[in-house]
Amino acid sequence: MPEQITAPSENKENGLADIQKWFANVITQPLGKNDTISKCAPSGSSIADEADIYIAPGPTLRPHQRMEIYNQQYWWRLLNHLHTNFPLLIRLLGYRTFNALIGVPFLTDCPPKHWSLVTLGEQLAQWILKSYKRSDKLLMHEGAALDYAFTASFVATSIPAPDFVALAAIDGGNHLLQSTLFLQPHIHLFSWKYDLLAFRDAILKQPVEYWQKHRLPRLPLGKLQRFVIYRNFQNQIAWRHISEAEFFLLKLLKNGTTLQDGCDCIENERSDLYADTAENLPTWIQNWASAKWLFLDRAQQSAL
Amino acid sequence: MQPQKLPNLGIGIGLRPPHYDDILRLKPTIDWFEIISENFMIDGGKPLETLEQILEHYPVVQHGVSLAIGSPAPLDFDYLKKLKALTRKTKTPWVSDHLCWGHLPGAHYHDLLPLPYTKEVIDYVAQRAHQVQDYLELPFALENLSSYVTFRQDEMTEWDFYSAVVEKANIYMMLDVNNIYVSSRNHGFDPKTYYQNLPLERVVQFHLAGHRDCVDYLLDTHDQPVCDEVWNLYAQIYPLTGGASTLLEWDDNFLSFAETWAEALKAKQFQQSIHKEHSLPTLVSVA
Repeated sequence: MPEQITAPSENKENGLADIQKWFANVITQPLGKNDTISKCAPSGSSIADEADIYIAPGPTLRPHQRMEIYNQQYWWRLLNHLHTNFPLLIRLLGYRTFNALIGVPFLTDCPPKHWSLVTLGEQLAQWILKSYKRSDKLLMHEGAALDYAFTASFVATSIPAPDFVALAAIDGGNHLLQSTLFLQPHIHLFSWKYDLLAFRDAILKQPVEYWQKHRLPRLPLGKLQRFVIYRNFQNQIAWRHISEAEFFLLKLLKNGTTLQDGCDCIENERSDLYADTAENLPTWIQNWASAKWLFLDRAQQSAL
Repeated sequence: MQPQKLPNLGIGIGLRPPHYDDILRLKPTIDWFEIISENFMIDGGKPLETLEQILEHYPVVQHGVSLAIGSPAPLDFDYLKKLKALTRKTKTPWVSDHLCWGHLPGAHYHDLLPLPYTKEVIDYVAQRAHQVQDYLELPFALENLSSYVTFRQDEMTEWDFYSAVVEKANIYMMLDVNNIYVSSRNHGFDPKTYYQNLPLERVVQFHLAGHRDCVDYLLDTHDQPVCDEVWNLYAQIYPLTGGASTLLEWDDNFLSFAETWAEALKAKQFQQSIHKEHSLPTLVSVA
């Protein structure tokens, strides 16, 4: 790896590092009323006085007014990204409420650490569980997890799938049963007591502003339903209902398992699940194989 | 050391999702596309599929937004490795990013933040830029920012700083004409002074874009037509470079693909003068 170059003026007052730390603290401070820069800097001093130390006045703007532009751009860019990537949440709450209850507090607690904005909302669902206080917390949490799954699925890798026909032909099919299989990273599994996917599809048909004036569709509670989200061959995100048994087995495959071990787990779990598996496993395997949902680990793939 | 002369690809536009369908369906005659590298530094999915289809028909040049060359954190070689892998796929003739900072250890600000213009920063940035160019094994260009602040610590002008960085690093310039204009209004300098003091032989590419007039300042928004003043500046600078690839940036409030391309093609009328000896055409505002 090439030699690392030391940043200048680490300890020099008003050197590059000092300026950058100050700048970062100011722009990441949440905006004040009417999206203006807060009158108080993060240090507690007046922002006008502090900005005067570092920033030259412009032809028309005072130093703190010039910093306001960067302060606004930081928040507006990141919030806009969350609005785009959490389309269900933003329609449930509207921009203002989303920003106040979720966007700003979340970004304050979990500011971006990565160069890619794709990962920005990765922790949002967990943050909602921990920090969101309203009575619709569960819906917000599940909605956030679902919205993020769409984003993650859209850009996830797709690992080359094995030739299942060849695999099944080895050792009378035992090799297939005993190979550790994994679920593709673009596949996500969910279970809820409502059909949140159909609800999301219906809501996304309209822009955010529509739902500020119209009643949301019903989301009736019922029995636990299970769903799989995946990326199809057209690279679009699709989803479908699956049975409890298929869900159980796919969950095991998410972390890697053999079909043999998976079926043994199901047998120990409940007899009706096992019965469903016994009846439908060949169809499931055929579907998963043709959709290229499964892959072998690298060592097994090389051995094939 | 004189930089190697890189090809003039002609006029290009930014490759953006609202235009994908039209481009892939109609396969219009476009000289080249610019992509934002980070949008394609992903593991899989539709964006990469689209890029592969575009690459079958068009040259593509990479432009980045997250290198943040002036940041105090060490160069991110995980990022650079992904960037280099993408250059192998796109066969981009050069790579550009911005003369800015944008992260501190453990935090990314997702903005192009301005640097103070000091000798110390020149040395620091030039070393890193040279290292990036060596690592990528491709010509590397830094773009001038549109900025809204200058620092009390500044020891020189922006154009002297920019020139010193690219010459010390022996890299190229991705010259954003709209950014020169926006910064000139925000800081009160003459844009002519700016470009007259640059090593224009190092310009490998131009950016042209629109901005928003916010009364007390101009904001670089890339969501408006290029204004007359920027076209005028481009007309003055272009022939001095001997000609360089030109890109229209349009990143919000999108027009149709055809309208965007028509806007980009306006650049042609300002390029004709490179072959003429008499004075350049100038747009006169009728406001």
